[in-house]
Amino acid sequence: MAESKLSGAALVIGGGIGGVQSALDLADAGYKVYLVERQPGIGGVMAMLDKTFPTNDCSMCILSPKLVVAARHRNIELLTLTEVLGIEGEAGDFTVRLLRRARYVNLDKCTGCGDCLAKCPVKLPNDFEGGLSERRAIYRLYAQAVPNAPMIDAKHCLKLVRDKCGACAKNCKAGAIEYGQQDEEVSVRVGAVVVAAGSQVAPTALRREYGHGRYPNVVTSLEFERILSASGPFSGHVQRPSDGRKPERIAWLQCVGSRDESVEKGYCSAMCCMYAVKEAVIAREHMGSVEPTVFYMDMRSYGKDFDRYVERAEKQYGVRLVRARVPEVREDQRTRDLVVRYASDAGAGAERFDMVVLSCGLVPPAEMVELGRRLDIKLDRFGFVAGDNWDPVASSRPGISVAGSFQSPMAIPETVTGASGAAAAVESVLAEVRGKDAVAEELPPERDVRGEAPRIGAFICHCGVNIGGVVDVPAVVEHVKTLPFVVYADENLYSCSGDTQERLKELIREHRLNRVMIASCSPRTHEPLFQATLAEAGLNPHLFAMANIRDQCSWVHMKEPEQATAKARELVSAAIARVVRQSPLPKVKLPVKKAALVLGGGIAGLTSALAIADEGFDVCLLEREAELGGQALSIFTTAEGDDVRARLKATIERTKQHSRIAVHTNVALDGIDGFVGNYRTTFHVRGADKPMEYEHGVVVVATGAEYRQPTEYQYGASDCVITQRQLEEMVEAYRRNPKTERPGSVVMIQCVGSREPKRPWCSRICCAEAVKNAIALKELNPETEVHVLYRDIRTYGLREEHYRRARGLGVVFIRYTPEEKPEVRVEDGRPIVTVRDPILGRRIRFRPDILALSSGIVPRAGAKELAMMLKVPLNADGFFLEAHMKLRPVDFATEGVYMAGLAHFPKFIDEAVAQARAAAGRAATVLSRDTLEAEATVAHVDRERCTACRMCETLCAYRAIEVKVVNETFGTRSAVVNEALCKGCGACAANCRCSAIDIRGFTNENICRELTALLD
Amino acid sequence: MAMLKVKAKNPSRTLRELFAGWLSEGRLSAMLVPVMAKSGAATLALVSDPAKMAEAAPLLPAMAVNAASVVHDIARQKGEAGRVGLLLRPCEMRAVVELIKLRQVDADGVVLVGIDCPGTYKAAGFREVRTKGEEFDNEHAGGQRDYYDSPNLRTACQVCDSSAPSAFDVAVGFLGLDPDKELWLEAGTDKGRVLLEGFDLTGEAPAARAKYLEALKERRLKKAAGTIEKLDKVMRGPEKLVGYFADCLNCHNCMRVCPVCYCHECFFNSSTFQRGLDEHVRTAKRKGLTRMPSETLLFHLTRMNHMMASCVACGICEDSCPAGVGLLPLFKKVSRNVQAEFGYVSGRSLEEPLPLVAFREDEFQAVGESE
Repeated sequence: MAESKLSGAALVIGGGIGGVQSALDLADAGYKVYLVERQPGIGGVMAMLDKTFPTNDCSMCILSPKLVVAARHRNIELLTLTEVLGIEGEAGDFTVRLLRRARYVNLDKCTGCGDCLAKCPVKLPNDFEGGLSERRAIYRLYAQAVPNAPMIDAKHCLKLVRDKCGACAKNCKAGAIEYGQQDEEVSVRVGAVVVAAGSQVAPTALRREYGHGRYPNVVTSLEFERILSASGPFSGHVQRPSDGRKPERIAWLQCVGSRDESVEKGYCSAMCCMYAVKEAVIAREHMGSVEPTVFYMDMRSYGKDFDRYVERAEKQYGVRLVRARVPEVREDQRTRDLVVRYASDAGAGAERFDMVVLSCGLVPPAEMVELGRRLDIKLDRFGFVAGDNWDPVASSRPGISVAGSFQSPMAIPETVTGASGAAAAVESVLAEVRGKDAVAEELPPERDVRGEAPRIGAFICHCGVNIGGVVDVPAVVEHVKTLPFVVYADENLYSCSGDTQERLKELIREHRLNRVMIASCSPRTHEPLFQATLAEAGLNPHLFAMANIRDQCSWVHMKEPEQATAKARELVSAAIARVVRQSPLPKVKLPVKKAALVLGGGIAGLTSALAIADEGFDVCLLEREAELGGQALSIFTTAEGDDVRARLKATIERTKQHSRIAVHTNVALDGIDGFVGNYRTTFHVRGADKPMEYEHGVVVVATGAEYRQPTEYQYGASDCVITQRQLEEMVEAYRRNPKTERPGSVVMIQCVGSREPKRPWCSRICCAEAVKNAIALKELNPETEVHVLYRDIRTYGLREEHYRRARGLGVVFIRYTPEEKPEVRVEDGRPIVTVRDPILGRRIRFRPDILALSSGIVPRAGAKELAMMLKVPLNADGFFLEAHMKLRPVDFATEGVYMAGLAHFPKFIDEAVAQARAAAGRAATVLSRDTLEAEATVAHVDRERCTACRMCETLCAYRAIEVKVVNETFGTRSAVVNEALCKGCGACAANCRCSAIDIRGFTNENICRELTALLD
Repeated sequence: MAMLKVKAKNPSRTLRELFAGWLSEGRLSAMLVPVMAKSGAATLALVSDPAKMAEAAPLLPAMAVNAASVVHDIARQKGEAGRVGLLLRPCEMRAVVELIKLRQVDADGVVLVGIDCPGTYKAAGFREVRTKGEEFDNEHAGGQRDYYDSPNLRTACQVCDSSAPSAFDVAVGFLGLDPDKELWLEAGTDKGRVLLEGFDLTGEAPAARAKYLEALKERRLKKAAGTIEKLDKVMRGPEKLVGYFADCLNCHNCMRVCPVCYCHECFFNSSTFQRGLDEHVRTAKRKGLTRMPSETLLFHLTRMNHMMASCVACGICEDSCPAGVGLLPLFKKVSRNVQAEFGYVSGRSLEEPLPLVAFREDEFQAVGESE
């Protein structure tokens, strides 16, 4: 076969969570990736957040591991301080011109020790902290920035501007400061591009009347995130910028730079309601005395578990939610308090607050518009890419995909989903060149150290002056020499620098070291590096231990150098006690069946099957019904005007004809056995008696959900009371046959059976569906009266445009509360609806020709059985539960199983398509491999000790441990670990009272020895 | 619920006849019951021959071992011969329930027959107390107040507030009733109803028993509070904790007799705790002296950590301590507090999940800055 001309590399623009996810998916699936970021470090906006909703996870804690993995990935080349100048060529063969701006710090030499930072005499406001703290002219974007090397702000550096100072270079023992660096232009050749460039927080200048920039105690939501953050300007203490006083009354003002056509920001930013409520909750968690108030228009908590979160915020945390518009904020100049004037249903009011937080929306910044021009992709009037519903990750230019809030306003889970979907899109372009440009790991054969007495090499790191400036490093070296089995000990200036790593390899050979202990910084950042060096020297990487004598010693005991030295000695003794007993751990390799099983033949299933097949893998698609198409079969158009039937038909045809896809309909599943890479599924086609079997490496669950049949509001009592879905059918009939008789008036009721105690979730799509049908009715006949009775209108994101349009066309929206629902009775076969109008303050009555009920979406009845078969969880409402709400929205905790579409939660077609493509992107990270390498540090069971109490089984999030009969003769049972699934998290081992479970590399015995060395 | 007529003012014999019937009718293959050994020691026997049921002492107010320990040894797997009945005091039953939840006893193979217990005597010297033989047992069951508040009862029993069976298949009650005349029977499950077939189970629970139990509980709780108060006075700070266990010989008896300590081999008997002389000398050098045997405090704290959610406060650990370490008050206090944190009561029900395997989102949420 001739070598393909396509490039096996991809370019990812944007180093936020979206870009990082795309880069990781692509690199894990066998592509070389250039990850381009304008800033000096990756992480994007998510790195600035304190917590994330609805789980209140620490943002940095969940993000940082991904950043570290991306930076270390051998197939990801990180290009920070870089921007795209232009792109030529076509899908499969692009040449991208990049501008790499000078960092003035050599990334290869810099060890990230930070010695340079404090010596810089220039003080500037720190933009990352919203200007609430200072930074120097040489600075790190944020403390955990990846890469960790600082950069020099050329505009303010005394050396670069006036050729004076040079303090940072003098203090850099690694010699990494290079004032002579220049910006340079480079070109890379790639086959496809993912644009995940993100967006910006709406400038507060859009609402000058709120006083941001003039009143110190008015902050943006992002600034407030920094105020909440433990690594932020106030170390996580909530205080007022003006005087440092603890605020009690804090107000959040919603929709700043959103839903505001007067400033040409007519869209909803889709996330602000939730983050405002979250900030209110977290502020309250920090200080019980805080009284948070959120002024909002509609509470748009449309996501999974969002309504629950808001309810808890109100009831448990006392967050006050006020539906009101705020025309103005004034400052009391004496106290710096703020007076918020507002207009609510109850009339106008004014309240005094200690602080005001502006919930700023997202806007595509001017640079993004310029980027769009450079990439030659179309943007909408706001500056978003806003793709096609059926291919939301595609841009107008083939080979360039988009993800994240550059596409349209969206929160983290949708961004991550889109990112994996964009990766799948790249892979469909570059399927034939998978692996072409990727680098495989090559290591020397491992030395067999079994039977050798331990020979430990111990290294104590100065980390510039980070450690050496406090701890007496030579004294620690002398101490370590006295410990058993230590045959070589020395100090390093920087253990992590390239030359030290080379020397370490030589020393391992020269002294026949079979164990290494390094006392330096955090294993989180440096253990993988040191372990890789061991592997390169032919030692098993687990014959290693690290002592952190920086973060937990020299940094925290800066003022007590003697005690710090004593502590360093103890920490080193403990690490030596541990490494003595470390044994080489084998890597387990398991073969992968390069095929996928897709369950469900609706839009999500079809899209997933096609995307996986286009990536070059075999797919078996199973549908329980006789016909493919799922819920989309009863949809005619989208709000954006797509002909759903035609597009669905085309998708079905393409699926049926795809050479890599086998489709079975009318299927009943009999069983799914196995684990990632090695599944075996049995099923039969109803009516046929022959059972069928399929072997596959991954599973995509796209089994959908159901429309709920309403039981409320006289449904069934009159032909004039119908569902929103039936109304759509009628609208379609009017469209096709203009002569049919049309209703003169239509009333719609929203949230029928949704957001109720029994079904507490928002069905997410009903508001936009109602708006879509209302617009259609008005367009067909402007005389038709349409009234929509709603609780909150949740046309989030760009869908807000339709809501505005509907109002423009004369559709009337009337809000009702759950306490005072509309009442419906039927008289002479016609419904009579009464509802209290909150603006008029009195009850009004309608006699519509049609009453349409938006009755929501409910989980599929069979979800539970499928969940049991796959051993995956459902949430409390009965929807499939993802591994992590924010960062793993497509994965189950069980590896190799993914989800897409309504099975996960109600969603629009474009969202289902994005998630389906994302499932394909995630699936490729498994299917692209010939073998899966299981973690070496997995759980191991001592069957003699195991009492088969099965606690480990219940606790394992990965379903990797199971109690089985291990001796048929005696019926002996014991826990057995599936090493392919085990992540080595240790939950089982920690809980096993009988200490029958050990985590390899972290055995109970080893930990006890380590502790003994530390405590005795 | 049904009342069982007592023959010849001898409740003990009446119960023996009931149990013998279960064996002869094949409702049970065997039954574990308390007996008096020839030596005069209170012990247990697994009876399969109805005639041999004559040796059983169902009301024996002495407990040398917690029957749950025996059940753990013999009933890990279901037998082929049919179900085995277990006559259990409330604390023994609670321990069996915990063991079932910990999958150390196969619930299907056993029938839990619980019986009221107003307290048991210390095993040592019990023969001297029980001079009248079986008559003593019957009398004890008769509910003389001075029996139940007697300082001769085991420490654990003196402060025990759950004198009635909890998660039973069949319950036998006598507290608050006149056991010379009648006993109270209740079936808690279908398994229990099989044993009580023939009884009319539609009757109401006797109010007198509930009232009596309530009063007894109140007295005992008061006493328990006093004991814990005393403990709190001596137990302040880590040094006092070390002192509390200072007499420990490291014999591990407490672990061996504990009904819910279920490991095959204790971690503390493993190689992890076998340290070389050099290591011990290094330890000694730090302070100039290191106490031997070593690791005793760690042993007790670890055992406490492992067992607190399941501890049934039977006090058998304290009874078995040759050094006289007062284990019961400490374990009672800690287990009670731990279980309260999780809204859990050990042995209360088979349905309640063990705290460690139940995930509750709102658990331990006290985080953030304190004001």
